[in-house]
Amino acid sequence: MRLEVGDIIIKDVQFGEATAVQDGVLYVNEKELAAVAANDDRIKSVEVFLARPGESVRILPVKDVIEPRVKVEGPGGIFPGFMTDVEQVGSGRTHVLKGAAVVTTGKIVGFQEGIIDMTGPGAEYTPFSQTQNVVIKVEPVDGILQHEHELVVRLAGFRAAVYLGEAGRDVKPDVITPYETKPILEQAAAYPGLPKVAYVYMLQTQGLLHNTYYYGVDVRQIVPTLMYPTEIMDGAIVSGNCVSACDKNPTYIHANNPVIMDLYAQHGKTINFLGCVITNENVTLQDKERSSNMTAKLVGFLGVDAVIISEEGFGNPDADLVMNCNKIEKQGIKTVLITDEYAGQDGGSQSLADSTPLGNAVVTAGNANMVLTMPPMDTVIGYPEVAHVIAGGWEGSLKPDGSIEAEIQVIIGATNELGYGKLSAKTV
Amino acid sequence: MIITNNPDVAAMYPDSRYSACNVQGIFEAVRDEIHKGARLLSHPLSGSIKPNESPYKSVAISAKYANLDFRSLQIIEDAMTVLRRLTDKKYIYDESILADFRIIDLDHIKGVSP
Repeated sequence: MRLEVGDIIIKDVQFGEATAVQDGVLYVNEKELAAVAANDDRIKSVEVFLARPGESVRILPVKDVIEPRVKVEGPGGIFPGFMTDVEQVGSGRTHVLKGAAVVTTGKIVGFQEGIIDMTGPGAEYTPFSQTQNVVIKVEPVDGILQHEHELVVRLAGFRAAVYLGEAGRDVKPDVITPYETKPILEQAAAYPGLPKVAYVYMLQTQGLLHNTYYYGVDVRQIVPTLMYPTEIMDGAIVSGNCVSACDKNPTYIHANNPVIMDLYAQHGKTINFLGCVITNENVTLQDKERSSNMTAKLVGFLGVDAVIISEEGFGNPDADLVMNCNKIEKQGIKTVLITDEYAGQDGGSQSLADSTPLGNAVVTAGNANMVLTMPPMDTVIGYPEVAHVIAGGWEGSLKPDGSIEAEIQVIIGATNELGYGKLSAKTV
Repeated sequence: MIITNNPDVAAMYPDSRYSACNVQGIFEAVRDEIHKGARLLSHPLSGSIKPNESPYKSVAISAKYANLDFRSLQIIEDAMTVLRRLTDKKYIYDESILADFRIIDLDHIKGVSP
């Protein structure tokens, strides 16, 4: 499967008469975008805001971040199972408004976290302080329940991203990058001298506000399966996960998964990247055993020498991470684990809820309990009162002057376990 | 069997054992049952909501008593360690937020096979 990704570099976003890309500026017709996003009987209103890097703007609570993309050649469309039919994606050509992002905000439950600061110390901890953000604030009709509210906001974000992505359909990309993975036997034979590597992609799937979807299917309901890595670049995996801002994977990061990007960068040079196994993180121990057994089986079936395993979330998923590691290592296949830490505010406590001596190659994405003070911003988009009860904060987190003292787990992407951030640790 | 301090779970599953205690109390009750031979069916750290943030917790265990399951014991002890070490900062929630926490906890325990 071969996909060309054409990046159209976006350096600024402005409201304009027509939605279009000109000279690296994304112009947005505010009314048209709001109408597209609000095209759902369950939505009372949609407001659109712009937030650019360096501006004194705080967005909270952020539900999801989505990158505008458009399929220009090849089967299917962006976000299969949601915005298009369920045709297999990941081949042909896709254009990306690189540097732009749709950010959705909606108060689905009362205690939600998820902060993006566009400037100041908080901005250092989120990749989305560096994107030109089109913020969609979704107000549902009265009486809507939490499950439906989450769905409504999720779909509004996808509609907005697809609408903006269309602006890139006929624009000549600044950079075109091809990604290719061949059918398994052909790919395995392609680089006989190089170690064969697969990627085990763990997805959060524990229920309400903790869901992830693959071609529209709740991943909680699947058994682990094989995936061409390019499928993610067309939005095959999307986020319905609205809890644990620091280490959830927003839809934007799924589409730009840095593990897959880095494996492709080494593909044919130092490794032979055979493909991905996607698996879930469920509530029951039987589900965990079944999924880790199946994951280990598929990895063994592929005949690889090593895998990278990334986790999503903390606590319960640590058990899935450890099961995957143990069962794969016991087949003689090396593992590298990516996780983050809840090591206490001083960083001195045990980092994970589970562990294994076979997990001897681990990359951390940072300590989510680290405390940070974020000064007040001139503008707050969303629902600022949420900060009073924010997860990772505490009573008194929101100061009278508008500043917030909280653990960095409140910041979107701060300790992202796909590595889409700046935090890590080195042995010295 | 479900051990819970969530009234919504107790209402939906009348066979559950309800106690109006805190999360620590639920973990201790689960640990006691494991010592008596029950096995964990659901992971006690369900969800990305940290156990010190939500006041509600439901854990499913087997009703069939067998020999002590060391894996279950290790998981509940590890969960109690996590609960102890997380920040002791206090939260004050209004009823609407408490209701949201109850719904999330209920949704997680719904995922457990009978």
